[in-house]
Amino acid sequence: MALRRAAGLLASRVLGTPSAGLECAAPYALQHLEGIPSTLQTSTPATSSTEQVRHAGNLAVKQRIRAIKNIGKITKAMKMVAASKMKNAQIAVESSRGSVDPFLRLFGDHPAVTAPKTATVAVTSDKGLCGGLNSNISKYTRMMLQLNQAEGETVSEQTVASIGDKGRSQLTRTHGDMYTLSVMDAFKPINFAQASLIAEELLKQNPDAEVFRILYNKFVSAIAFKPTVATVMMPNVMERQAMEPTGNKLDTYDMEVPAENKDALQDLAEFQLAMTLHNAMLENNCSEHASRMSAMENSTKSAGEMLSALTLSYNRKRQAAITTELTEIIAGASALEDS
Amino acid sequence: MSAPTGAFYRAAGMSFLRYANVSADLLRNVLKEPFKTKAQNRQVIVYRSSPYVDGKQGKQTVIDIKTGMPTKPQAPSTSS
Repeated sequence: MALRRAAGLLASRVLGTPSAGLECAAPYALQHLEGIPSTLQTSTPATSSTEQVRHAGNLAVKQRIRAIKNIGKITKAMKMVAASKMKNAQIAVESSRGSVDPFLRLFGDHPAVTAPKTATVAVTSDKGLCGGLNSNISKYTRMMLQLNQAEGETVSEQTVASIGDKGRSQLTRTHGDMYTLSVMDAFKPINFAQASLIAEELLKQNPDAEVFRILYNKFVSAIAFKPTVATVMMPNVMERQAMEPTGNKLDTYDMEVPAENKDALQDLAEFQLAMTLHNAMLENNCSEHASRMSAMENSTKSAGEMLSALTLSYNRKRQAAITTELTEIIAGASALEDS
Repeated sequence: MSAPTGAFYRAAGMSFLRYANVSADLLRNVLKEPFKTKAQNRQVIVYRSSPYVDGKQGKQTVIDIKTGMPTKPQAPSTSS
């Protein structure tokens, strides 16, 4: 009892008179130091100033811990949503691949084909937080445009279009003068009717383009997606390509009316464009969800690591402050006792 | 005029894509009930597009169609 009294006296002597603003903290201080006799209650505002002094530096850390915990919860939820969306999208992707393969078997894949007028279409996502997917596609689009330029195709004959908001914002900055069309909000839902309408608009905006190069991320697995370029040729280039040794197999088919060959090629080219666009959008959509899943997983992991480091430092500070206070009181009390 | 050259839809001004999609819509319409609604979901077209001329964004077209491919190409205005 005497020890406690002495401790209280020491505290008031060490910390001086209470300031007016600390009186509101008095009830809190009273809770903390129970058993103080009523004669010493004038010292409680002073002790409340210890509380304030003890917790002031730690308050910022506490708020940071709370914020990081919330962010970790959000990224974890986003990861689960992306995982479920990816599962659904994967089914659609695998069934759409079967409709693009026949074109490759019939016409072959000729990414190196050149024509005076080419159009490049970049398929990107609308929403962000999906890793390096979209900047990758923009990078490859720029490289492709430079490649075409280096091959002697003049810039005025090259056009760029984009599907998805992210591609538009990244490409209009550097290649705005080559832009012809930008499509947004096209990923919900994705079906062939929509792909046909977009393909028609592409053809309308690029009436002279003879080769369409579509860049997208091909979905390989939940952790791997490869930027791919699909080449679609318009009839003139197709016929030219047929003359080459690596020509297509179309001539093995007999046309009922040979004069209709050109029309059939035109129809096939349009159909191939729509089909390739449809497949590209589906694959990119699936890759976007997979990429978002892994990006959010990394975020959650970093948040967890940050959280544990911060919590450790917070607890250490808190315990150090309490220990300091305890030693002060005990030293003071023992000094009084000795005297 | 002489007999139209090429396919009839070409002569009517439609591209092959429009022709194929309109035919698909007609087919989806004659399906029987449980399959019909499932198929109608494949007719919904939603997107926003804007043409770019000389680096400037043109007028935006909002396409939000629930009844399948339109038979005539759209004029550049909001469509229902």
